[in-house]
Amino acid sequence: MAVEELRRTPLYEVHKTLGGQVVPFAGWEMPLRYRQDGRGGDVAENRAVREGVGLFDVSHMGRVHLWGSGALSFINQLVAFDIRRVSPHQARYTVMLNEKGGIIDDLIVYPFADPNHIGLVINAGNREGDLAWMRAHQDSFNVEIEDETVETALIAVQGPEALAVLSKLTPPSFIPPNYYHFADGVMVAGAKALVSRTGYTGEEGVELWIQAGAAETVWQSLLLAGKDFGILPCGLGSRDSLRTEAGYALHGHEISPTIDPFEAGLGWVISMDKEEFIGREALLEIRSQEPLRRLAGFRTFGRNAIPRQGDMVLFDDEVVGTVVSGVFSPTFGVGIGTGFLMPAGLARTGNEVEIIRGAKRFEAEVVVPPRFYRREKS
Amino acid sequence: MTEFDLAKCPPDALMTKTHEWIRPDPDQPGIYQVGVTDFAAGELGDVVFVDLPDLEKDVTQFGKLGEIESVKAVSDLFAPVSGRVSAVNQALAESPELVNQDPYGGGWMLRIEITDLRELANLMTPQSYAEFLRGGVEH
Repeated sequence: MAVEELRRTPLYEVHKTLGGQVVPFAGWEMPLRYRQDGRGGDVAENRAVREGVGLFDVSHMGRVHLWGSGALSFINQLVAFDIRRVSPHQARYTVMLNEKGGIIDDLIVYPFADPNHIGLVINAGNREGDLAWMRAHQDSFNVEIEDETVETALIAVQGPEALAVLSKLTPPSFIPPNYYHFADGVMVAGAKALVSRTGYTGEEGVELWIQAGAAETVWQSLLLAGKDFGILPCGLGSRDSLRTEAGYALHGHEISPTIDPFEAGLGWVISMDKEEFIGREALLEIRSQEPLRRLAGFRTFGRNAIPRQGDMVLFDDEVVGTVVSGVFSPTFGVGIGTGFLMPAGLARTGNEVEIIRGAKRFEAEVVVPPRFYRREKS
Repeated sequence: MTEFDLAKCPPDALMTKTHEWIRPDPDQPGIYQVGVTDFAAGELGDVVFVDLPDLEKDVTQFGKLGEIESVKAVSDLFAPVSGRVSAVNQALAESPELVNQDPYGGGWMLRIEITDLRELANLMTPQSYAEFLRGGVEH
C-alpha cells in the first residue's frame, strides 16, 4: 500500500506540546487524546465536555465557499434540504445524495448575508470526493467553488460553559443568540472568526472558523480563558464517544453512499417537496416501499458489555444486524452502539437483542432513534 | 504515539511483542505476575474493563488470555508464558483505570504458575523492548 502524505493542521505542534497522542485519521494527523495526568484521556475529556468545557481541533473537516449568483440554486440541487428556507446566518445540517439516494456526505450549509455566498463544512475523509462531485455537477450554474480547508482552521469549543469561555474573548453580543446560527467577521482573541453555534457533542457550543495563522493564538487564548472552567483539550476519542452518546451519525458508519437517509433516521434533513435535487427520484421510490432495515441504537447493562463495530446482533437467536459503531459511554458507564436492524420493524425502543463477538455474548436494549444523551436546554 | 518509559519499567520484567510484561513474584517462587506495559496502556486509552481467565486455567505461551476493553476498542491479552493461572487481580473489576495509572503495580492482571522457564528466552528485556518499539531489532 502506498504511504500517503498525511496533512497536519495549523495546531499540530500545539497538540504535541500538550501531550496529544497524534494518529492518522482521514488523511490527517490528528490528536486521538491528550495525556491527562496519567489517565487515559478519553473519559476525562468526555466528562469535561459534559460538565464544563472542552476544546477540539477539527481543522481536518473540509471548509468550502460557494460564490456567485448561482450559489444558492447550485447547492439546492446538490443537497436534500431546501436551502431557500434557510435564513442568512442560520446553519443547516443536511446530506448530499447520489442518484440512488445514498449519502455521499453529510454537511452543514451556511448561507451568508451576501446572497451570492454560501459556506459548507464537509467531512475530512470525503473532501476530495465531495469537491469532485460538486465540480462534476457545476454545469451551467454561475458558481465558483473555493476549498479553503488548508488556509483556515476550525476550533470547536463544546460544553455547558462554552459560551462563558467565548464571552471572555469576544463581546457576548457578537455571539449568535441561537443554536444553529452563525455570525461572521467576529473578533475572537484578536482574530476574525466565523462563529457558529454548532457542534458534534450534544452540548452547547461553538465552532470557530479562522485563518490558519491565527489558530495557535485563538487556541491558546481559549485554553487560558477556560482554565477556571476546567477546560481540557479533547481528541478524536472523546469526540467519538460524545457524538455516539448524542446520536449523531458518522459517515462510513451510520451513513454511507449505500445507505439512504430514511433508513438512517435522517428524514428530517430532507425536503421532499423541493422540486428537484439529486437523489430525489430514488428517494420517492424508496419511500413508496416498505423499508428493509432501520438504524437502531443499543444500550447494554454493564461496562463489560461494549458493542464494537462488526459485532453481530441477534433477536430470538437469529442474526438481525451488525454493529456499525460501538463505544464505552463515559456518561452512562455502559456500552452503547448503533447498527441496522433487519427487518426494520425490530428497530423499536425497548426491544431486547443480544450482541455477539466471538465467544462473548451480551444483552442490549434497543433505542430508536439512537440518541442516548440529550442535554437539558437552559 | 505514546511512549514506553524505561525508567518506570521494573528491571526484571520481560516483554512480549504484544506488549504484555511478566516478572517473577518475589514471594512465590515459580509464580510470575503479568500485566501490560505503559506503552500499551497509553495506546489503549482509558481501560474500562479487563476480561480475565478463570483460576486454574491452563494457558499457552502467546495464546489468548483475555480481553482489554477501552472506551474506543477491544484488544486481546496474550500469555507471555505457558502455565496455570494462579491468581487474577480482583481490584480491576472495580477499578480498571489502575491499568492506566499504575501498569506495573496495581494494574497487574494475573499470576501464572510457569511450566517451562526456557520460554522466558522468547521474551524481550526492557531495553530490547524499547528498541523493538523504536522499530529496531526484535529481540
